[in-house]
This record gives sequence, C-alpha cells and structure tokens, in this order.
Amino acid sequence: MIDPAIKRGSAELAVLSVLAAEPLHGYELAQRIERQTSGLLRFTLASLYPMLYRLERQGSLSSEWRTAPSGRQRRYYKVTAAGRRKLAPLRQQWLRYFQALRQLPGLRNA
Amino acid sequence: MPDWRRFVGRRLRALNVPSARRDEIERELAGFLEDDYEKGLRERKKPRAAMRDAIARVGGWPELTYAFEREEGVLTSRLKTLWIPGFVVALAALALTRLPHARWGGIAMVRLESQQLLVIVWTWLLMLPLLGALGAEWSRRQGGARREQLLVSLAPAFALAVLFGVMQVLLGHPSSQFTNRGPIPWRVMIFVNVVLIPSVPILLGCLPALARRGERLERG
Repeated sequence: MIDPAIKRGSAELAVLSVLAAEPLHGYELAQRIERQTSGLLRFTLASLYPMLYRLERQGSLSSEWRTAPSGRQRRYYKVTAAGRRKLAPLRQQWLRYFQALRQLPGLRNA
Repeated sequence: MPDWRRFVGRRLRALNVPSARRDEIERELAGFLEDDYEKGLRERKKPRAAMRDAIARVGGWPELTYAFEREEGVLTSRLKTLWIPGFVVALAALALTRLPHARWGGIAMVRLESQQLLVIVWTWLLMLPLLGALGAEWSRRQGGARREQLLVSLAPAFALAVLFGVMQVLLGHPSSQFTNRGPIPWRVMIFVNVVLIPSVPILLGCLPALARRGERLERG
C-alpha cells in the first residue's frame, strides 16, 4: 500500500496523464488508473470527484454528458489545452523528484 | 438493481449546494456506484457483496460532503450566510441589554428597582423580533437556506445560552438574588428566563423572512 499523503500529491498527475490519452468518465478513469498501477492507486468517490471538479474549475479539464457503451449517460472528462500546458511541467517536476530520490542512499536501486 | 440515485441523494442530504448542482453531483456519483456494482456482478459476486464493495468505494459520506462543499466554495459562503450575520445579531442583542443602563446612569442591573427592571426587560423583548427579522433577512439575501436563516435569528439565544453556561462554570453557585424560592430549581428558572423566553419573540420576528418561499437567492 502507498501512504495516502503520497497518493494525494500524485493523484492530479495520474488523472491528467490518463485523461490526456482519451476522454473518460469518472468510473472508467478510476478503473484505468487502478489497473495501470496494479491496484496501488485506488480512488474513492471522496478523493476522485472533488479533484475532478477542482481541475475543471481551474480550466485544466472540461466535461460533457455522453452516452457510454453501456447505453447510460455518463459525464466524460477531457484535458483542455490549459490542462496540457499544466501537465508537461508537472511530469517534469515528478520525474526530477523521483530522480532526486533515487540518488539517496538506500533508494539507489529502487 | 438498487436505486443508486436515491441512495446517493439520501446520503448527501446535508450537502449545501444549489439544487441544479446537487442533481448533477448525485447523478454522477450514482453512475459510478452503479458501474462498480455491475462490475461486481459480472465478477460473479452476490448482489449483497457487490453492493457492499461499491459502497466501500465512497470513502466516507461526511468526507465527501465536506470535500464538495470546499470545492464549491460553500464554506466561504456559509461565512456570509451564517457566521457573520449570526455574530452581528447576537452582539446587537447583547448590546441592547446594556442600553437602558446608560439611561439610568450606568448603574448595575441588580440595583435597579423592580419597575425599572421590568421596563428594561420588556423593551429588550420587544426589540428581539426586529433583530430576528433582520438576521433572517440578512442571511436570506446572502443566499442562506431556511435552516441558516433560523440559526442566524436564534443567534442571540445561543449567545445567551453560552453566557449562561459560562456563568454556571464561573459562579458555580447561585448569587443571593437567585436563591430558591419555589419548587423550580434556580438554574431552570434562569434558563427559561434568559434563553427560552427571548427565543419566542426572535422566532416570531424571523417568521416573515422564513415564509418567503421560492425567493431564496441561488448561490452563484
């Protein structure tokens, strides 16, 4: 398991990265992230939706109601141009952060 | 199939956002739980287990409600609809109790003649409906719900209850004027006189504002 504080910091990056590939609704997004991180990043409603609404309010995401393959109406989120501009430096910051951590004794081979 | 929309609606009853926004949130969360429940069924879970697992994905209804209200700016809004008007109305009610003292040269209430005391109390009680109305209307104009309007109006009663509690702790015993003279304990007598009786004119005063149905201003 990963500490919730670490998850919170990286959740925005995970959401923007996955949505940058294709628009998804909340459940698909949560499932996609969970599957691609082998279950390490698992969102609850309380952690996912307030963040999606915040990112939308900040202009990083936009949303629209569409018919899902199940035939039901779902709200799909996609990354806006502003969101893509935000994502690039965010990725760089996290990469630099991981690289810095790997230089520490005990984490070199992590 | 559980009625997820109804389920979410009941759990988010305390969520204080405009109704159109609430509908959207409920619809979206219900969709998430519905998808997770159906995935559970596809994985051959029993309906009860699938439902339990879906509900476990919520992460706590109070946390969810708080997170939404924070994101929707409701907490800031509550400052405008509840805390500031409530504080001002309570302060005004307490200040009004001191006004007659200025008229009689700042003498302490315990030294007043009983007739003067009656005038002070009745003048104060007659002003309370006005304060109740003012509080409820202020909250309403800021977009406060009925519950918030009512709480703002009753702020003087809450303030007096707190003062009453503080006096209890500080004094710990009745002063000479509050000694038992009948079958009703002195604490109950003070509570009725200081908290319950003032609440009646306040409530009467806020009724017109509360009765203005459908005029509630939606938060932007």
